[in-house]
Parts: sequence; C-alpha cells; structure tokens
Amino acid sequence: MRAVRLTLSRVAALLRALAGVPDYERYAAHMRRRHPDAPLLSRSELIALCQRDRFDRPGGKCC
Amino acid sequence: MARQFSAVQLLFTVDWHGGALAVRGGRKQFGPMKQPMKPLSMLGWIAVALAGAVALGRLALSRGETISAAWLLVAAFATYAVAYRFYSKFIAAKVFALDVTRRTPAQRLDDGRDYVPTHKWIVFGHHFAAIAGPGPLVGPTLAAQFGFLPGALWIIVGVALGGAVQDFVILAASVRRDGKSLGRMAREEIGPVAGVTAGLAVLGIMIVLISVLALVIVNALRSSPWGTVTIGLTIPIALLMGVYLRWLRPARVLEASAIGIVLLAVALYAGRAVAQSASLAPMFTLGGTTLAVLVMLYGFLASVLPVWLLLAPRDYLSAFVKIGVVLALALGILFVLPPLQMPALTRFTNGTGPVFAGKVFPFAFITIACGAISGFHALVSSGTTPKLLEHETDARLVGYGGMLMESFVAVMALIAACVLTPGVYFAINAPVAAIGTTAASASQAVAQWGFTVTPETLNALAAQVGESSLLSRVGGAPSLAVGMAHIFSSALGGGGGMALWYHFAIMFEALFILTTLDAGTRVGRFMLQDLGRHVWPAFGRVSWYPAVVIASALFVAMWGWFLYQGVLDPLGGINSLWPLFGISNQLLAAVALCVGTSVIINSGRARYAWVTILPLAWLVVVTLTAGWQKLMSPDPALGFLAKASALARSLAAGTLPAGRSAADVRRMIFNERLDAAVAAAFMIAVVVVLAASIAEWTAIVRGRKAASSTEVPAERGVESLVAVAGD
Repeated sequence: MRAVRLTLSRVAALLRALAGVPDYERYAAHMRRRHPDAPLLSRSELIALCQRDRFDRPGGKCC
Repeated sequence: MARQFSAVQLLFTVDWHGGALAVRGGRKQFGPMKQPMKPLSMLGWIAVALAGAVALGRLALSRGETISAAWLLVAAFATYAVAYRFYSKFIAAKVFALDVTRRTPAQRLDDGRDYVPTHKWIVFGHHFAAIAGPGPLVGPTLAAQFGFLPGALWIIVGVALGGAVQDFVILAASVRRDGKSLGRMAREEIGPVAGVTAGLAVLGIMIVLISVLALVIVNALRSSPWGTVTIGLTIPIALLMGVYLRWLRPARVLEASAIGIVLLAVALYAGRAVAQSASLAPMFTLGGTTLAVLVMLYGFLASVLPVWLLLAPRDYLSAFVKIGVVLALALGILFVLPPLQMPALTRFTNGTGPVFAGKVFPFAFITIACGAISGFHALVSSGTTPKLLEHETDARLVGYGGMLMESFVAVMALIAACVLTPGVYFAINAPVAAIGTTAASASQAVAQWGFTVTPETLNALAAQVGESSLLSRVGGAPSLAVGMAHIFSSALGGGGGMALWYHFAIMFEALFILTTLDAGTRVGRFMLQDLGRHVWPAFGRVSWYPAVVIASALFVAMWGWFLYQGVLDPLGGINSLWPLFGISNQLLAAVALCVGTSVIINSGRARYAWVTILPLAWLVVVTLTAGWQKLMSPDPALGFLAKASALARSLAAGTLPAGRSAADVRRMIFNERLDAAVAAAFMIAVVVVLAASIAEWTAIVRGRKAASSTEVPAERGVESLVAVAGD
C-alpha cells in the first residue's frame, strides 16, 4: 500500500513537472535551509510567481 | 612507478557521462574514455546502422508501389540511435567537454523556483513540452506535396546533423553562462549589432508565426460548427479551471486538469450535438473573416487578462493533451503500420505544386522547419531549460534527445499525411483557385495532376468525418486530422468513430496552436513594451493598464493584419505565409548557429567549429535561395514582387480577377509588397549577423584577437567530490 502511494505521488510529481508547476516542498525546504529569515511564499504565491515567469518573457514556449 | 593522482585530478578524468571512473595519465583534456567498444556492442551498432541504411534505401528506391510506414520508422529510429550514441557523444565530449562534476547554474544559484536542480528525465519532459508545438505537425503535412521522400530525408538527416545539434549546443552554451538568453549570448559572443538584430528578428518571427498558425486554425474551423463549438468551449473550460485554482481549491493543478480533460471530452460531444441540430448548427457555421476576428480577440484577451485566469490553465490542459496524444499516435502507428499511399516523389518537385509554390530545393527545407531544425528552440534552450539541469552532461539527453523526439513527432505527422491517398490529400490541401468549389471540379483537377479520386469518395469522406466539405481546407491541420482519425480508428478496429476521432484530432491541433498563439501574443506584448519604453517611458510599465492594452492591441494588429489578408487570399494565404514563416524560423536557426559557432571558437576549440558551421552553411544557402526566389522570381505564383506587378498590370488593363474589386486588388498588391519587404528584412538580418560573426571568427582564428570566452569559470561541487570519493 505504501509502495502504491509512493508511486502515485511520484507520478503526480512527474505530471506537475511536465506542466511546469513548481515543486513547493522543494522550494520550502530550500528556503528553510538557506534563507531561514526570508518570508516564505505560500503554495499559490509560488505558483503565481512561476506563471508570470513562464508567460511574461520569451523562451517559455515554442512553435 | 605508479602515477599519483589527487582527488581533483581524479574528478577531471571521470568519464563525462558519469559512468565508470577511470584514469588517463598525462592528458589534460577531458573527454570520454578511449575504451575500445566491446565486440558484441559493436556488432549491435553495426546491425542498427545497417537496418537504417537498408530502410533508407528502401524508401529512396520505392517507385510505383505503396510501401509500409514501418520502413520510415526503422530508418528514423536507426538514424536517431546512431546519431545519439555517437555524434551527440562526440559533441558532449570533444566540443564542450561536458563534465558531470562541474556545477550547473541550478546547483550554484539554486533559489528553489527559477534555478532548480531537476532530474534529467523530468527536464526532458519539460523541455519537450516547451519545444513541441504545431510546427512539426503542419510543416511535414504541407511538404508531403513533394511525396514522402524529401520530407522524410530532411527530417531524419536534418535533425541528426542540424536541429538536435543546434538545440544541444545552445543549451550547453547557456548552461555554462548561468542560463543566459540567446539574445544576450549573441551580444556578448558576437557583438552588439548581432544582439540587436537577433532581438528584432525574434519579434518579426513571432508576428509571422502567430499569424500563420492562426490562419491554420481559421481554415480548420471555417464552416465547421462541430469544430468551432468544441474549440470555443475550451476557452470557458480554461476559465473555469483558472477560477477553481484561484478560489475553490488553490494550487490543485492535477485535480483541475483532470476536470478540464473530462470537460474537453464533453465539449467534443457538445460540438457534435450542435452540428446535428438544425437550429443551432447555422449559428456556429462561421466564415473565415468572423473566425479571424474571434481569434484576434482571443489573443488580445490572453495578453491583457491575468495569466492565472486563462493562459496558465490552458497551458496545463494542452501540456497533458499534447503528451497523451503524441504517445497515443506513436502506439497507433506502431500497431497499424499503415501503408504510405503517397508516392516517394510527386511531379510537384518541379515547383508547380498547388499547396505552396516552389521547387523541392529549397522549399522542402524551409517548409519543414520544426522537426528538422527550428531556430525557435534556441529560445527555449536558452530560457527555462538551462536553469533546471542538475548536471551539465544532462544537456545531451535534454538538448539532443529532446529534439530527436520532436523529429519523431514530425515523422508521425508525415506518416499521417501520407496514409491519405494522394487524390484526397490534394483535394483537402489545394486552394479553391486550383480545384474549384465542388467535389466534381476537385476530382477533375486532381485527375489532371495524375491522381484519381471520385467526387463520391470526397463527399463520403466528408460525411464520414462529420463535415459538410473537406475541399480546400488548406493549412495542413484538417488533412493531418483525417490521417490521425484513420490511424486511431484502424488501431481500435473496424474503422468506426471517424467523426469523433477527426474532431478530437482537430481539437488537439487547435489546443497546440492556441497555446502558442496566446503565449506568443503575451510575450510579443512584453517585447513591444520593452522596445517602446525607449521612446515613451510610461509605455514600458508592464502593470500600467493603458500601456498593456495599447501594446497588446498593437501586437495583435500586427499579426492580425497578416491573418486577415491570408483569410481573404484566394490562394488560401498559407501559400505565401508558410514560406515566410519557414524562412524566418530557419534564419533564426542560422543566428543561433552563428552564436553556437562563436561560443565554440571563443572557447578555443575552433577545430571543432565545423559541427555548427556545417548546418549553418546549409541553412544559409537554403534560406537565402528561398528568400531570393520569393522576392525576385519572375513567376507570379512564386515571387511576391512578380505577383504584385501582375496584379498591377491587370488593374491597369481593367481585367480584374473574378469577384474582386479594384480596391481588393490594390490591397492585394500592397500585401505582396509587404510580404516582400518582410522577407527582405529577414534576409538582411541574417546577413548582418553572419557578417559580424565571420569577422569575429576570422579575427580570432588568424590570431588578431584573443579568444575570450564568457563562460562562468568551472566550479566543482563538494557533493560530487564526495560521491566520487565514495565510488
């Protein structure tokens, strides 16, 4: 059962990565480790920030 | 006495792909081990190469009989495998000396959101989803008018020696420069003139690209209530997902996407219900000009609305649909292995083809851009992707491998176009001016070209896919959709459900195109604002609404103009716009290869510069020849200026084309001249960049100027050291 859950969460992570959704856990871990004093963005704030990065400059998409 | 090696020296001599750790004494250069290949493995590779050669030979020599798509697949896979195993390894080891221990921007600048070390297969998927757009679907379909052979050879050989090399080289160069963009690398490696020219060229290419893709959509949806409703519904579906993600279940992207995909299926059936309803169908049976205005409105909204509302959810949907359909199509083709009905070469290699004008050389090579080589990819390879690579050696899989995958998509599109009988293919892809408006006139025109298709077949096929007519649906999307529907319905047995599969394929293509169109319009808006702020500072404020609205409207007007004129064009517009797009995209590739060559020479490896100079030379020859012919050919079917003069003569003589007013003809003359000016501007841009590059290269090679690389100095990771020490 645990193996199934783990596989599912990995598949979900893969799908999110394919769609360009940031990995929040990774970001949060990074911020706690390297910048413990800086404000931590919420999950939605991080996604919003990455969306702006993706769509508001060239190089995100192609023909 | 045994040599003594320090840990650092050991790191230097790690086999670049991170495999076996081995030590080579005395040599300073990093590179792959000169380990002799195992005999068994060598035999295996000889077998693969032979299979590829036999398959290519079989394709090239087939005359007068249909051959199975299996030959094309074998030729493609064998070439990809050999090219990846040997050529990309050579580039990784010799040209860049990629080093698994050298820290990448993602490792050094890791900020948890922009620069994130990511597993190579995830970066591969991400990169592929970003580079794969409608380009590799449409180009091969159009180029099938020459027969399957020119397209097949160019896709397979072009990617191995050109497209994949370009993507890989730019990615590797950008990884070594903190993920810098192509424009910045052009400025820093070649010079300021090249930098500015490249920037302007990108803006121009975006305008042409978006207009031609919008035209493909308009032609696919013209008088098709089913398609119009299905595609139209994808917009409220995206809005709904946006609202869901914003307020109902924030950040649950997969959940929202699953709902969106279910709703897409509903939209497919809703389209059918509307098309079958006597009262609703006429309301959604729209003409080209109405659809063109609607597409422009959509592009404008995508550019001014917040991204979370429309663009982002739409992009999630299209990413999943894209990957799902590409996999399904691959399975379908492998399972069915359909015969290629199109001959290897058609009579239209002589330049008299109805789909677009021009001989097989140079036009096959600009019609198929994405799939063989695409300059646009250089923007992605120097955009998000370099900031994600965990190891610089991953650039080989992501850059070279990702492009091979895109090339395979192009091969599948070519197969899907060639499973149609030539008669059907030409009836769908030839403009009204060539085949008339009825099944009978189309059948006659096709017969004159030496192919046969009865009016009954054409009508039956249209009825089978649930459309009133398939004639002159130029742009490639409908004929590809018929081919895909054929493959899917044969794979599932019985050949039933053609109508649903056809509209599913149209929806898939439209999603592909609309995500390029909306994201491109938004980026174009930002680029315009960035240019405009030099003249009027307030215009550059990206969050000041008046500036946002004006810049968006301006950019939409630019591509909208070409789109609208294309819709009115009796030759279907694709005829003149697609070559313009191909030329511009290939010229951007030439710019990217100039940058790549400069990077290689500046890093002191001029002896390997042929890796990028070879495809560069070919592209320059092909595109400048094509550009010159489009400008200067005395044949009005081919040359923009000749066409303008012919129209001017008919205007002066009072012999207007049927159904056209004098004002129409004046507008057509203006458009031909505008197309000529655009083509000329692209050509001048590439000549400027090329001249600046060659001046730099010769100065360095002759020793007049020192090679100065802008690479970030190598830094080797503690993690890697530990990993190797523990080996």
